[in-house]
Amino acid sequence: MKSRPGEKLIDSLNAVEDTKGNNGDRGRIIVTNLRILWHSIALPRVNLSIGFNCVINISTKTAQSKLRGTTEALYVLTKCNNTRFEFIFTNLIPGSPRLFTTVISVHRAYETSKLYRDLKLRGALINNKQLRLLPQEQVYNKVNGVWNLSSDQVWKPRNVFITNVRLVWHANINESFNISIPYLQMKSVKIRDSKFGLALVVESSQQSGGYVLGFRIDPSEKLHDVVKEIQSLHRVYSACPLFGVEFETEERMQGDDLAVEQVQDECEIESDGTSDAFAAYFADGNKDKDRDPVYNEELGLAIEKLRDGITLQGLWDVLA
Amino acid sequence: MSLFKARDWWSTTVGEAEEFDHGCLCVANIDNSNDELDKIIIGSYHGILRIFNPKPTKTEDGGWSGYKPEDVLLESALPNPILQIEAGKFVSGSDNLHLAVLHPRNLAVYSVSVTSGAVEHGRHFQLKKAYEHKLQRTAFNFCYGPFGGVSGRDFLCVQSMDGTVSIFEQESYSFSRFLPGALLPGPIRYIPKSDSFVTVSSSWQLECYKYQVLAVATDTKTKEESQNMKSGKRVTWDWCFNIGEQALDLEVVNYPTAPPSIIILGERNIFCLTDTGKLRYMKKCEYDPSCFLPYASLVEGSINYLVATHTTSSLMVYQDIMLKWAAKLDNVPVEVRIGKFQDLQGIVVTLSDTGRLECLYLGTDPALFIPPVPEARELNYGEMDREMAQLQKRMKQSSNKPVIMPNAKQEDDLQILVQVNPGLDDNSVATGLEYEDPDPVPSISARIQLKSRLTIENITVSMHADWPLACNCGSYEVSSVDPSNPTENFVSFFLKGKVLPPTLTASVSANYTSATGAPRIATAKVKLPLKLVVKPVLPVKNAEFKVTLDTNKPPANLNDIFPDLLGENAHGPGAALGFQFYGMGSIVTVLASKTSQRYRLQCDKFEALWLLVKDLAGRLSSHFNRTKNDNFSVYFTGQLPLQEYFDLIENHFEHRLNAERCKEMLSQRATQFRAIQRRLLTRFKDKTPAPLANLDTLMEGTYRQILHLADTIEENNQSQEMAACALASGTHLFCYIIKLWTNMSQDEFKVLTSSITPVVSNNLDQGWEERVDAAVTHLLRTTLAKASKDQTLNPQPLTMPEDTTKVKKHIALMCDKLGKGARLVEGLPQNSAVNMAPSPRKEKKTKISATSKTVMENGVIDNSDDTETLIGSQFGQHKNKHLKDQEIMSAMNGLSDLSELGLPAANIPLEDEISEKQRKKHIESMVPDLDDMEVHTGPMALED
Repeated sequence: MKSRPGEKLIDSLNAVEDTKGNNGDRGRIIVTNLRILWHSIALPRVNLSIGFNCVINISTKTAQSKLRGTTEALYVLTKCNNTRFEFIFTNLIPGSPRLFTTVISVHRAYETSKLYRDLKLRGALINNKQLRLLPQEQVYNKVNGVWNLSSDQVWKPRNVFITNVRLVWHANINESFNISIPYLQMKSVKIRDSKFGLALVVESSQQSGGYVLGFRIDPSEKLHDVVKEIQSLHRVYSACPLFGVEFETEERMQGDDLAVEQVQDECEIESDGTSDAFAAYFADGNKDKDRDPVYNEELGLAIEKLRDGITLQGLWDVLA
Repeated sequence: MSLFKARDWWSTTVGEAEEFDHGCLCVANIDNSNDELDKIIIGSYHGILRIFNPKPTKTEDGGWSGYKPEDVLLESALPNPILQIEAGKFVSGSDNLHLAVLHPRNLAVYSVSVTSGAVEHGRHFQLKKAYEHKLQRTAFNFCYGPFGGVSGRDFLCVQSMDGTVSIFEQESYSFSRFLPGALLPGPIRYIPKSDSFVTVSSSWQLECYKYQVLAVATDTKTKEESQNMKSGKRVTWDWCFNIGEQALDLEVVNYPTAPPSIIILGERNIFCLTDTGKLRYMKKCEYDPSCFLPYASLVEGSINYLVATHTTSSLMVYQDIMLKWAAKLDNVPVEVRIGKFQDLQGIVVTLSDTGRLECLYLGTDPALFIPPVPEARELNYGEMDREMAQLQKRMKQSSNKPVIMPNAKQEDDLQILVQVNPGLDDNSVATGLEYEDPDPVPSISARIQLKSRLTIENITVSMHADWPLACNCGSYEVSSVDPSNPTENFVSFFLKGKVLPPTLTASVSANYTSATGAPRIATAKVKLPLKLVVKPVLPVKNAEFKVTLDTNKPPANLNDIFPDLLGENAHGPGAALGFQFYGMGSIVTVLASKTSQRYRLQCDKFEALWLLVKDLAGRLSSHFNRTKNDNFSVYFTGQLPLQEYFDLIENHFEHRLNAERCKEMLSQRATQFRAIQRRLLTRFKDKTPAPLANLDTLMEGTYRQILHLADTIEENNQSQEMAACALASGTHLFCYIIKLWTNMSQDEFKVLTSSITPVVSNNLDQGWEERVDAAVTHLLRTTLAKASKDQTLNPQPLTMPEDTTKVKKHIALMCDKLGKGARLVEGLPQNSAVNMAPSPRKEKKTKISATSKTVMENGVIDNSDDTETLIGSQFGQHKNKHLKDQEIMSAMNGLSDLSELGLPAANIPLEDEISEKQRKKHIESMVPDLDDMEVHTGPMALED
């Protein structure tokens, strides 16, 4: 497996069944700080990868496995591009809760370290004019007298913190008016001409909202210094990202590392109907898209617009 | 449960490892914006207040854009945990909505203000504290409303953990009151119509308190109202209603189209009451509700409400008691609200305990989805075939095993090593002997070592030696053995009973619990030397029973063969040695022929020969078979000692019969005794006693008889034990001789010894005779049967036979068949190695009287077999005269002389009379006798 920079292997279990898509197949599950991977032992080209960012909910429920029968299994509910997928993994070693504990706790670690990776607006970041630092964060520079160009009150001075993970900007008068942009979400950092003169412009990535943030720093030498610093930190971060997902592994895992880190043989992928592979994991069925929500007088709630000629009562009576 | 699912409109995960519960979610237009759209306000137990404004946009593919960073309006870390948040008109002189936040020790009211920016993410929101009340008691929850009928203003009522309510008229504190009988606080609400509070107390009833009653119930002594009051007037409720369960939540609704109602969500039921405490309706829940929310009255006179459930995580929509809709949720909400966002009203907002915040609408497409079966991959049939074959092989292997035995070798945690000392003990430990011997009885020590791979604790080691051998220590315990530290113990074995020992082996077993918790036993066998039970004496010339062994090597000097058992024969020529068993008179004499390759063993008792025969054969073969090429072997060419063997069987059986007879008699006497007792008792009970009529004498006589019988049984048991030992020794010898005679393989010998078993046990329901008879009959009908037609199996019940005729007959028949070359294991060629046909001794032939018919009892055995007569007849009438006399005697004396049945009188050597000089001569004179024997037996064999 080739992992991206900053991705670390956390655990690997060799007897896990993908109960939903490959029931009856013994496979290996690999948990890194960013995702869950599963591949079949017999056919390594049968594999899947779930990023923790897509995960909505992880729970344990009873499932029907071909290899283990009725057993406790790990349910992973995910959402990607408005389509929800559900994955069920079963540990084939009876009585071992390692699968559950690892995945759930890594997911929790991921969830609680979002500030490392997500752009945040108006968060509770500043306390008494000091930045609340993340566990692995260090402040490299603090720039005062920065004007934000997105607000009307452009002439009020602001502060910018430059750290090894992100750029934090906040208003002097209102601590809750702030922005935290991790380098991970920065698309570009450059100097542009604006109606307020030369300004530092940070463009955020599409998935974080595609914001364009302008800051004015006077004088222009200071502006150039700051931009240079941010650009170089951005480069350093891109080469060696810090995702903030910290997971303490037990001693025994260290030995397994080398054994698992084997590079999978490259195999030719012939794309013939590969799109069907997703079908097995749909959580909502084969429904491609919802109709628009509308207010329903009968229930007093918002519902999905009914199909023509169908009444709510009629639909409900079918069930009852 | 539900066919329908709640559809996700906008959702996000709030907080980082924060917890949420009831009261943490509020939906209101908190920033008082002109579009009157709701905002979502969330306070966590970690003290972080967040305000969201969901604004998803439609994407090209028809989905919703979901959460965007700019949807966060405000995030503020408050210094204390947030218990509850509500929006209301809490600031005097303002109609705007303000936010009341309840912390454990204070109640704060905030205003949320907006400063618009150039772009959406440029707007900034500010949280300003309007006022704050410090609380003296730890707060539980609060409610608000226009207490006392004020208009346009909301007052606050905080309930603390001890059930005290404190009223705050906006910025000013009003009063505090104790609610009566408070143990734990419950949900509390204000009813505007009747100006009263309702709460569900810990006595599981709904209680209503008038605001006026609370307000006027001041303590006359203290005019000043303060929060930290210690006592107060007891207030009483206006009305109460028993719901009989804990309430999860409580709501007061007042819709224009429905009567004012109080709705209570219990743990199992939903109650709806009028504002005066009359039950309107009640709904029993078939699930565990987590939270609920009345939201509207859409039909005249009825109330619509939502209920979320735990286990099935679904959202129910009720109209009064009728379920109108149900939808499946992804999470179990702790709080549910309804809000208007963008242009869409009626959006359901849910918050889970882990902080999953979702804005939902109800899906109307039934979820009939069944996941498609994954595309079948190309199956590797070759691989599957191989696996199948492998599995079948394993199944076959395991089914071949008759019993599923745990594989002991894998888990051989404990090893027992036993080493017998080469010499006898210097100081004999033999005690408690049942016999007397002029010479000191020796004992021999054995070293028992326990070695283990793992640390094992609590090991019980027990020693067992077959009677009459015994050990000085029955068992001992070892507290723990670890790999580095093996234990060592010494035990001694010696001859205890006055019986001939049938075997010279003892076993040592260790009982322990393995590391996996399974009980395990390790055993080791100990071979004891012959010198433990015999002592060297001068040889005896004449003896009744003789066994001659042939070899294929010139005879060895017996002094070389028995270097450790020479005694006073040490300086003799080595042609004859005598051995005497400790405690018994029998002397076994071993003679080596000078000219031929023969050895003769003779004794007065047939069974006493066994240990010497075995030992001699073993010693000879180790003496001659020094290298691999020395093909020394021992044969038996003489006549099978059938008669001698049968005498032993007869003797043993006689004891069994006696035991039976004694038992019968004992039960008879016991019955008689009880009958006499009964009669005596009735006489003694009688008020006018009748004469005893000698019943007492009769009773005493019977009593003596019973005692005597018990003694007799005890004696018989002892002598039966001796007879059993003798029979065991005899069986060993008999089987061994057959083995030498027919040159049997080890497999065949196994079959033979398991059929004619040398294990003679006394205390089973099944005696030795019937067991051996059954086994031999089985062999005769199966392996030894002539043709397949004879191979019928019809097992007979194992009951004690009338006499020993049958078993003797069958053994004789088997010997005959073996003599003719039959094999005991199927698939071997016919045996041509039988050394010599068994021939009855000349003098006994005259006594043959039984006819061939006696053998044919079971009909299966071929009638035309002539030789049966010859062999079978031998046991018929002949009896050792000595035994015969005894039998007659015992028959005459009834049971009193049973002990004499034991062993024939020993032929005590006349050692004392023979002087030293004579002794040597005596031995020498015996030797030529052996050479005569050769000549003597030769023609005898030819005669037949």
